[in-house]
Amino acid sequence: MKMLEREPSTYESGFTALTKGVNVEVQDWIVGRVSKGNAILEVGCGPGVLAAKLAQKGCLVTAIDSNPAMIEHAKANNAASSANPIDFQQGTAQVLPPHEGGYDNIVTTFLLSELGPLTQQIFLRTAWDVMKPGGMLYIAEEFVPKGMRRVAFAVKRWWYLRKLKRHRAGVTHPLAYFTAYLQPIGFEVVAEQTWNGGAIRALAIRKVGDKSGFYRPPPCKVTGAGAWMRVARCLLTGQIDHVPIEPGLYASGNPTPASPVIVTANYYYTVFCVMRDLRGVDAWVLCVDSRGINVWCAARGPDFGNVQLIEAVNASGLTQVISHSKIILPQLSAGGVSLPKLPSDFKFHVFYGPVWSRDLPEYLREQVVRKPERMRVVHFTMPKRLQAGITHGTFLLRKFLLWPSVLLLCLFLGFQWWGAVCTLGWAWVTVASTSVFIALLFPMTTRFRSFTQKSLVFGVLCAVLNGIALLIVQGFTPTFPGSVALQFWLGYFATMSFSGYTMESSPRAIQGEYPAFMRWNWRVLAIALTLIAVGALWSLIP
Amino acid sequence: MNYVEKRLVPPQNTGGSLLSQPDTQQLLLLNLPVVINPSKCIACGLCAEVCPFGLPEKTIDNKYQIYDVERCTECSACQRNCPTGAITMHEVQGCGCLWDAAQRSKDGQNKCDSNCCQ
Repeated sequence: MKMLEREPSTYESGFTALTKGVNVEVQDWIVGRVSKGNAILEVGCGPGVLAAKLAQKGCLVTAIDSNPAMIEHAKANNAASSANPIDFQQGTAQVLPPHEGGYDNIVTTFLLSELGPLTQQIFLRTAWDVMKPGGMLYIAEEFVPKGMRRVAFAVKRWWYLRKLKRHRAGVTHPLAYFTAYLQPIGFEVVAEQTWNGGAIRALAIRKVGDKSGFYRPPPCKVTGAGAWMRVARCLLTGQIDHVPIEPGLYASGNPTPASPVIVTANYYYTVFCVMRDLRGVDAWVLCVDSRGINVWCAARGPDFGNVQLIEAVNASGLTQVISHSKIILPQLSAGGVSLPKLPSDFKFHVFYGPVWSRDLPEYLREQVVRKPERMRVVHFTMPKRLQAGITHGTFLLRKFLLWPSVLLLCLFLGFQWWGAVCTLGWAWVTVASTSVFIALLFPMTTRFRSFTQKSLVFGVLCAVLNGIALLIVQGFTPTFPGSVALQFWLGYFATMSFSGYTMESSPRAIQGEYPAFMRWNWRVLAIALTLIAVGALWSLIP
Repeated sequence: MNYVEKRLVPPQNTGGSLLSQPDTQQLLLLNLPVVINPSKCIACGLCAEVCPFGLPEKTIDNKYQIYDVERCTECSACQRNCPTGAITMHEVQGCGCLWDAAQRSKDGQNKCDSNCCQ
């Protein structure tokens, strides 16, 4: 969908093809439910097809889209075609243009799944504000289906995401929790229509009550088998799998309006650590929507910055929950958050708390003003290195050995099977142990700043140790030189790959070293494989 | 105008050491990752507080300076949060891991792939 958006003129036809015509049925469903003369706001109008249909029915339509090219296209398309001119404006779902007396209806199709959960909540609250009492909101979206269809959906989505990654396009998020936001914010569903077995749903939602409220996510579980399973998933996949929890405001203990506010990312392991370290402390925990990425990585990328902070504060209604104006951010989010650039209407004083969540209780208790060194300086200590080594090891195994292993085991099924299992098992153990070995001995190479030098050191070390071990176990064999060279390559490559898991790599340095590293990487690998092949042939000669 | 040019700081005093005249040229020439302009520094200490390695240190004339500049990983925490814009850095994108660098050199887009955090 993000790809379709790049070309406004073909968006509508492309989208109709993508949804197999369901979007046209959705439009007709909405047009059939509004009555003539209604003041309607369409959010995310695209090229303005639905807006034109509504205007034809005699409604006063205002249509907004965040993409200026789409707005230009929509204006050009709908210039003089309708009796009721449509007011096309550029705008986002978070700031809706107000209307004298309020809108009768707000309409949005296939937009909310492009937005994060917090933005969806802000949209709903803003929509509540600009609508007439009893006004109707019509939304049509891609939903996560219920029941057995969920499995098929998950498989399809996995395939779809793989494809998207190759195209390097943005991702849409089918709505899973959306209906839970409605009641707390001040809406009720009055009608519903589903297509494609519930994957696409249209809802007619009525504004109720005299004040809009805020949605609170259910408490995040940090005890029990389920929690530990998720922790294991986090540790074994690193950040390849994003494991998000719902962003929003959580409570630790029984917080009061005077309790401190801790801001953190919405990666499950991050929240798990914060919540466990805060046991016995009454505090608010505000999880920003960092797309399931930890604080440091998210701050280095675009996922934990001023935008996410402001969004989380607005969506959770923090001003109405607490009586003070102090919020505590993790120190490592400073790489993304910029205090001088926060807008002047941002009401909170931001403090950078300790690096590790385990120091939070002390930080809160002692009311620390200037943090001592252990709260602000990171050290790549032994337990952290071990953890990083394991995570990196599983990453390398998944990257290099998973599919070749499956393939080989299938090929050798029933034919020298045990030999194949042994060889593969040896390969798995070597890769995993090399990774942990590098992680544990990593400080040895502190004197070398560049990762290429570190890689050479570890390559040589791995080759020497492996060579000695091989000589002891099986003596000199024809494949010995090749095995040692391959082990050198493994150490060399794994150290470079480990760079992202350490605390001392700089993007500019790595990007600068990359071309030369890769050239040597291929050469060394080619030499090692040639040596092994020659050795294998040699041993076949009687 | 790119980010570095926007932050270009004209030399304030003609005398003094090289480090007292930080500008983009110097940053590029010396290949330094980060430079603090002492004439703009108000010694608030926020850079020292946000740096994960505690690199900015207080000098005897009550300014902050980075001596161990080799250890800087260019996370930009100090530069983003400096209230007076006294800190100059290269414009860097990426998170400093091999797989990120691989993706960037492959398609030139500023996006990590599935092997990395982003």
